[in-house]
Amino acid sequence: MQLYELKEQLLKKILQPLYIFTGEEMAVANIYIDKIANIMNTKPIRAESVASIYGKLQNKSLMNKANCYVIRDDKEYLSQDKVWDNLNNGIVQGDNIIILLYTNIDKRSKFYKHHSELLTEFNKLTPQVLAKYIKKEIGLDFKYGEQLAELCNCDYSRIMLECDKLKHLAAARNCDIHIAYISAIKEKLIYAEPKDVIFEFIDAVCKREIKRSYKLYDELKAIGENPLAIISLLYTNFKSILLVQSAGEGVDIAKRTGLTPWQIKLAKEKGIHYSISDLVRAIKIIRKTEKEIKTGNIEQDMAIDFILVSILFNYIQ
Amino acid sequence: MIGQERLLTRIDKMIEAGFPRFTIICGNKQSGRKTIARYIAKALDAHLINSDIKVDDVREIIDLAYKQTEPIVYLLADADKMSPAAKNALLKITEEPPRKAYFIMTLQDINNTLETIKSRAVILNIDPYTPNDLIQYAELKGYNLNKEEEDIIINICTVPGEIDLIVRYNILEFYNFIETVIDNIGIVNGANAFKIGQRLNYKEDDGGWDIGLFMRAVMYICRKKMDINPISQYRDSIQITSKYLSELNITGINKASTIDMWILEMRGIWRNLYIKEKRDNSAII
Repeated sequence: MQLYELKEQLLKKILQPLYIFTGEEMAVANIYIDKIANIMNTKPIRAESVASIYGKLQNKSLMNKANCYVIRDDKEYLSQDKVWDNLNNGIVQGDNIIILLYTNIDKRSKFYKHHSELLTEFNKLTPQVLAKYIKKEIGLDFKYGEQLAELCNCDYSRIMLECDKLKHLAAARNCDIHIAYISAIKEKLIYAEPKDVIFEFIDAVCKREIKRSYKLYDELKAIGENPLAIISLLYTNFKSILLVQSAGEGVDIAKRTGLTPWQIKLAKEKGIHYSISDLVRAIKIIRKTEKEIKTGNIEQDMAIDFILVSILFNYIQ
Repeated sequence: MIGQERLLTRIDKMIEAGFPRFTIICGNKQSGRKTIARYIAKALDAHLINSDIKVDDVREIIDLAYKQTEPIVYLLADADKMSPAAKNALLKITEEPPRKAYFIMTLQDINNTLETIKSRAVILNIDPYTPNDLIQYAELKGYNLNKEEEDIIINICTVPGEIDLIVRYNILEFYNFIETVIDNIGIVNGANAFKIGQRLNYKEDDGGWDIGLFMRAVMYICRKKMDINPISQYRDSIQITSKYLSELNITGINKASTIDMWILEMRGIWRNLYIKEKRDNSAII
């Protein structure tokens, strides 16, 4: 079910026995859960799994009060295909409503295919839409609102927290919300997540910027970047530099190397930091490290350290 | 079926004694593993069903296997890439085999499956093909080969399927290209040398030349040239090529970067000779 269809249904106060919400933007999903519970005139009840409430659902109650059960990431239910239809058709739950939340659902899975018409995806909202929410919440201009949304990676819950921070900052400094926003940005009170750290890291290594390489490598470790992905990118970049350097000069470099003009431009910029023999040595080290990981002779966690020491410090000696 | 007399005799005896419910056929790609599976199905008077190796497909055939009333052979081809979940699902069948169904799994490397599966299966290994087998296969297929092409096939191909591949490439064109590579790898610039990799096939549907065939052809040509001109560069080239050929068999290895390394090492061997020759020539002048 598309989000707009769900919205229309809720506006008309039409409810169905089972909802399945998926996607990264769970904060928005929670708004819809509250709305459903509101229509039912109750509060959402969080449960651990479908199995834990299955028995309760079939009990006859004297009060005859319908409940709205919310179950998050019940992995067991994903494989219990025999009870799916019972819940989908409301046979088990009677007037109760069940809302299943899944942060991720494998689109190739049987569950996804079976429930494709019931599923509502809560993907991240666009900065433009979020700017409207921000305007409504703290009265920040659209231009700044979009900026703030992008800074928060379009994460609704984080945006709401930052809005709260800005509100308090404006109150504490006794200033306008726009001035509070600008000073928060200047004073780095709103944390901007580094983007494309991996590419910056590759750029730093290819330009032999030792301090920057290690700083960015620490960030990569902090976000848990896969060492094999780093190795693969390092290899491709060093090979491009080697190809461009060894192809010599001339207008047909792209034809001779099989690289795009943009790749050639980048490779030329980086190329000045390494000689051809350095580059050959570098790609041999990178490839050897990858092989050692695959054969279990080197730990993935220390592979990048090994590559950095071998490639970068040769320069200092 | 060409060759494999020993294996076929063993299979015939097994069929007489009651063929096992779960069998693994182990051999290189294109070595005729599926042909053996078809032979078994025919001998058992059973239908042969090719199954995918994804976990859902494995679970589905297990469910179906218990409901069969007629003999049926399920073939799980190229199971080296089977996921751990699918392997575990398959374990059930090895513990409680259905009455009418047989399972045949083909693998390149026996170590690419679970120990528990291995211990419950009967393992059939494809025997190496003799030069006569290979020539006989080419004749049977109607490939009209001359003496030179036959020599190339005997020395490069190890399994019948590779003959089909090399004939499709055009044997002499393939051979001449590799000969040119060996003669010029030390002379051309690096960017040009790396282009060799673009002619090879790294994934199933890449459409390039088979890497194994290419590497074996390099070794064969170097061996031939060494007979005429016994310089150490040919011996070193054979050693390097053999080293990288075995590295290509490591599970999950990046084949493209392995070929890059081979190119670099080959260039290293031949470039030194080229530089030395250039220096000597200029000294004479």
